[in-house]
Amino acid sequence: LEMLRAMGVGVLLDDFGTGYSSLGYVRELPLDGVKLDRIFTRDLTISDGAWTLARSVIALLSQLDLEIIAEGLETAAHLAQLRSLGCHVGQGYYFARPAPRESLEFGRGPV
Amino acid sequence: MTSQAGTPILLLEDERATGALIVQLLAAARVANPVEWLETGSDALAYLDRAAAAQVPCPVLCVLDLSLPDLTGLDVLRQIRGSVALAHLPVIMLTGSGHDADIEAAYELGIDAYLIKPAGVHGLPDVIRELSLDYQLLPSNGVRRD
Repeated sequence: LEMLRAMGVGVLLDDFGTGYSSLGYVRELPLDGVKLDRIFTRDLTISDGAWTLARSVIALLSQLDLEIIAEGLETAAHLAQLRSLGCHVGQGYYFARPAPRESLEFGRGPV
Repeated sequence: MTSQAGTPILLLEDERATGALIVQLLAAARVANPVEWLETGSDALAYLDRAAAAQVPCPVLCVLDLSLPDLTGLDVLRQIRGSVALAHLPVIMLTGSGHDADIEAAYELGIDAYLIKPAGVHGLPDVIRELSLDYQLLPSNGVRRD
């Protein structure tokens, strides 16, 4: 990973917050950022607990100067809430669904 | 950073319980600006007209509900962004609507943040901080430092 970074390749930890993608790796691995798992995104508009958790995780990662890409943005509501929490990069069905390379077009882009 | 004493936060919210909760949250976050709480879109437009004419203090921030008895929060937002005197006012939409069309319309009109009730209500103090507004904070002993 260090060699890749020295070549200018960015390193991001996938599915951060679930399974093997744990908080400890943020310290152990040479990372440029994380991709925040969809569990932090999905209940953002309805659950105070989900809001508080996402806010805290985003604040923590920001303080560590890590880039944050939110996964699982399926609606404008997900996007709006994450923007409000200070996370400005995301991916998900709201922008585009998975597609074969030859049919790829640019998605809707950020609102 | 502190602003001129008495610069209000304009709150447009027709549900009493929600309005009271927002006022409480701002107080708990030690935001010292007075809250100018209006319940109809036409009252808000009238207040903003007077603010544009410098007859009342220009708000430091507007917090708008989307669905109101008369107009919509988008109508009020459109008025703000269309006014030379008010166009740069920070505006937060705080609403129960999570519909893509409402959210996209609000961003197209230049909303600064869009929060969705109920969870988003609790994010209001964070968003105010994030926007780095020229708001007033009370010191922790609760005494105003004007």
